[in-house]
Amino acid sequence: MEPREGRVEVVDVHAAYNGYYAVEAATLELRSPFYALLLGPNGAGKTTLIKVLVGLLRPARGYVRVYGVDPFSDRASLSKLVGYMPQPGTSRPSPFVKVRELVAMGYLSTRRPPRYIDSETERLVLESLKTMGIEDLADRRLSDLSGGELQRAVIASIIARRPRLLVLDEPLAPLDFSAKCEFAELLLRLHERLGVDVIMSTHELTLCMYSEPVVILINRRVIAYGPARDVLTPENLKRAYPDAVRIGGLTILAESHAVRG
Amino acid sequence: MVAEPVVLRGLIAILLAGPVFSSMSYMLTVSQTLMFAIEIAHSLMAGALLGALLEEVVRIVPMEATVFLYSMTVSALVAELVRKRVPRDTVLALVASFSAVVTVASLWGLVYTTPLGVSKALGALWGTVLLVKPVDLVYMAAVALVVVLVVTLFDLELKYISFDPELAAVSGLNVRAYYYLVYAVASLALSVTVKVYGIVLVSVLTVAPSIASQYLLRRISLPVFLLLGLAVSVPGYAISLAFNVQTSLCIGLISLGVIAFGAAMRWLYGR
Repeated sequence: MEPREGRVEVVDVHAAYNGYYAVEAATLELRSPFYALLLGPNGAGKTTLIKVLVGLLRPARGYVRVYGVDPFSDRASLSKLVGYMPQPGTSRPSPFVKVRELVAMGYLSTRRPPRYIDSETERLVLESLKTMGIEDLADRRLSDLSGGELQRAVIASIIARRPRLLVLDEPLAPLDFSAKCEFAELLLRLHERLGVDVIMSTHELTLCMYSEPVVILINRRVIAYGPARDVLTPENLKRAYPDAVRIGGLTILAESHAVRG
Repeated sequence: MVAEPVVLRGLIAILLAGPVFSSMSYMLTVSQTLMFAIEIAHSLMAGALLGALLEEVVRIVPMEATVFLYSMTVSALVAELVRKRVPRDTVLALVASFSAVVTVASLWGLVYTTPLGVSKALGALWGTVLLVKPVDLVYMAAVALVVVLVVTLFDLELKYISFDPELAAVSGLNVRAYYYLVYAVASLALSVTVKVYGIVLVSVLTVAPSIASQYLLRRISLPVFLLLGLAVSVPGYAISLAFNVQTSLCIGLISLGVIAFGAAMRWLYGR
């Protein structure tokens, strides 16, 4: 593992998606090590900002540096540093691909072709599957996996190449409560044991998280970022969620989503 | 009968074209672009008839070259417009409309400008396996080698990209280049198979090994596809010679028979 130094910088980023600016004048800086949650309502630009961070979308203005790398112009360097998990439901789990192959390609993708599964790759695949607790799924087809298992397989494919940063787009959305907790614990373990930085967009703060994350509150603009207790103030939440209602000690953001503050 | 040069050349053509279309079918199946290929194949009648016309009129442009270029252009056009967020339905409708006009224009050109126009047009539609020349066989052998090599070398990459192109792109793969490789290989394969089987059968042959393999064996592997390709082509050719029936018709019927058999086995035994 490389020294845990460096930072992720977003400077005055404007990014258009489907013809309109989903992110405007976004500026933030995260210093390693960090475990960050990207929080905001629907249409707040969370996915757009994530696509800019991983180099899938070029900002119309401003710039991004991920550990000093420009994600859009230096894809080769970025792929060695960053692992990206797309929003669940956008992938096509094929009956023709086994978990073992998916994880192997996660590792092999940064190498030059021809790419084939040799003994070293096999070893790394098994190690990644063990880390994610799914070694018994190695020969299962992707189409036969549950949502939670598929997410673990994708993370296994990413960590197989030992990235410094994991960027996850709403990974908790399709999971039930206990699966959300398991997944959050797993990410925390990767963060603490392997030293992987994490940026995860979400609609909710996982109640089962045992350490305080950095929170980036966004609604097209970055409203605030920093330790959760500093960011999740009623004033900031009202700016991020204009429809939020404050009842007693709770700020109600949506029907089933409340933050104490 | 096999000793006759025409029949022997036909047999060699079938033995070469079988692996080409089955490898193409495998590639399109694992890259989950089978439907895309079928949609494009429907527009290929224009490419085949235009190719026949140019081969007849210009004489220096072989039909294979026109089919390849037409298929490649249509694939690239659809891919780029979809990438620019033009609705897929709109793009495919546009391509189908354009191809329909090219089809009619080429057909008119063939029928009214050359004495052998009608037979040329029919040849493009249902294939002319008994008319292949030695030079065609060399071209087919080269294409077969390229297609099988590409499919073997990039198997893992195609599977990975098909799962999630964005995940693959961030992982370091040039997704666009791989899609273009798929279009190029599929276009090459089509240019060969059109000559042998005709454009009408190409759609069936593109999906037949895939469906049969999934129904019969519940597994996808290149050797299985290659075997299925030969298993429908060679008997189809033999039957067509024995009963003096159009080769592509026999191969098409056997393909459908294999698919139906696979479906029946799946239904009966739940495999």
